[in-house]
Amino acid sequence: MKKQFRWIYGLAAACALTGCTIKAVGDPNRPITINANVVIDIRGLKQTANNIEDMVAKGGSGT
Amino acid sequence: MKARNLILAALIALLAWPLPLHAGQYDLKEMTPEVQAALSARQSRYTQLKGLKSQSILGETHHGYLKVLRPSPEASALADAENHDRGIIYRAIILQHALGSEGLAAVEKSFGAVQLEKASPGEMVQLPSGEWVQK
Repeated sequence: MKKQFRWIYGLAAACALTGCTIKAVGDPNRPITINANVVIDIRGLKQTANNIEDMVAKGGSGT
Repeated sequence: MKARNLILAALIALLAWPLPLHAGQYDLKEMTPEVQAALSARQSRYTQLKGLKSQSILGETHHGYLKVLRPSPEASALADAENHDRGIIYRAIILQHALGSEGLAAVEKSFGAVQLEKASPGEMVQLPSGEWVQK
């Protein structure tokens, strides 16, 4: 009898635990900030800088 | 045999397709009116600035901006306007490619390096160490 009660108690505890829900309520309008490290390709930046400076020089020298 | 030749021809065509060798990874994606105006202004004052640089009145700093090395009202006004326009272009690159808070330093450093490379002999340039030298 006691063993049966233990089993029942255990089942009841498990049901009680699984029945509990923890709900976190936050402000849905709060902005989310994500801090990420951006890997910058310096060689790529230099290529872009080259392109832009060439464009400026070409337009400026009238060629 | 025909299918094999077609596949071979397609592969050759694919390999021979001209690659965009000069496309920069961080090229401006969008030419906003502000950026276009900055570029046009830079083009219009290019020859003047070249002249002032050749006289060592202006010099290129290692972070991509002009510095007045010998006092001159004309040079100061031109340098201010040029630096303002360069800043617009740098910030546009940073925004359009989401380079973050460290992006400005990287962009300025890259443009500074390019200006150093493109400087003509006799022009004053600032090395990354901060030292000014005549190229």
